[in-house]
Amino acid sequence: MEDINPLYLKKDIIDQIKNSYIESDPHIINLPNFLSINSYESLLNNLDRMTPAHKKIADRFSYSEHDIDINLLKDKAFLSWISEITRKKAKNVNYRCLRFGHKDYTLLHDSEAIGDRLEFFILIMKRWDTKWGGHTVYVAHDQQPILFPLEGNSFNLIQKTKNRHKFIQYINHHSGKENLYIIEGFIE
Amino acid sequence: MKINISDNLDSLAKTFRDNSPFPHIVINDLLAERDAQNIRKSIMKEKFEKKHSDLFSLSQTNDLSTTKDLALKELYLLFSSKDFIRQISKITGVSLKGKIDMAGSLYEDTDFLLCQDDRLEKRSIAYIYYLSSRFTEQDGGALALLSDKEGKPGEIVRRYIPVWNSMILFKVSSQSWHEVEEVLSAKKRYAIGGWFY
Repeated sequence: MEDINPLYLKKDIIDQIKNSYIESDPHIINLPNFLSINSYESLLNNLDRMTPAHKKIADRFSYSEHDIDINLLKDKAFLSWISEITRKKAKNVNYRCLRFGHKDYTLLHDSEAIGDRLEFFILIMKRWDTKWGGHTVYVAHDQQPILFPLEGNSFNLIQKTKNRHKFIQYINHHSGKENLYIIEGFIE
Repeated sequence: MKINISDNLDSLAKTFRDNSPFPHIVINDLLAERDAQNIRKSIMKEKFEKKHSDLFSLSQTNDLSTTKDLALKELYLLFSSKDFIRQISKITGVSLKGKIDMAGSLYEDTDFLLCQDDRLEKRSIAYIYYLSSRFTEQDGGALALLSDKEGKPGEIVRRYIPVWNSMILFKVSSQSWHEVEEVLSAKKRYAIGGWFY
């Protein structure tokens, strides 16, 4: 847990996060400056050095997928922290690390078969402008879409329901050669 | 206003059938130059509404069946006329009921349409009539047609940069994978499009 900003390990802050999570509908948290500065920069540098394989099924997704271990997400203390916030027993973290650049996206089709589950993502980027796209968006029929802030080193958690689906906005040419890394997953 | 389509419909039908990755055809100089210019002026005066989803970012007009613009009304009546529907039916080999949809579209810098097959509510033939001039490869906005790979979209097989006063027709099916590539410049990509049912 030394990778997490120590602020988020304080009892009174955890209580605030718990309340915010429970009171939101759908249940959501968005924590800026989530990783310690050293851990975040080290992770960003590692990702920038890698050349992940690009994957594309045009009517579903286009992105590159990194083969990388994130120690924090394997730490039992992290599961306990999640359990405390959500007041639900967290058993296992499934995750993957994706890289998005110009022309990359995911479509709703890729999320439609997924039922209720606790989903999270951590955003990592050197430089990004919201006009370039790349927002993580959750949509549900007849409801306003939920756009998460595009903020580097933010931790985002959402209790996804079977009728709420996710996509990642197409990234346009103004992004140039910049990359947006998203560590995304779900917690059982 | 008159639509200029070759009398040799059999030849157009062969081109339509033979084109890959799925049946389609490009018809150049669809209207007389002055009519095309008038249609462009008219469509630019219509109200466009910006639309976003996971699949697209573009601006559209309402269905042009209700337009008050005389030139656009005339175009709508020509496209939905029995004669034109009969020609389209002959070229595409598809029996058409006579119903059409028609709306203006505008793609500006960063707008796009990601890969889809267009299948919805008994659409039979899709059409796009281009009203943008001097588009080049560097401007983006090409219509890309993709192959079908076991029910999924495969590779891009054909790309069409918008050509002034030309119309593309393609058959809508589970294999009609297509996309509009992102517009990369400040040029405005105007078109009128829709479906024959």
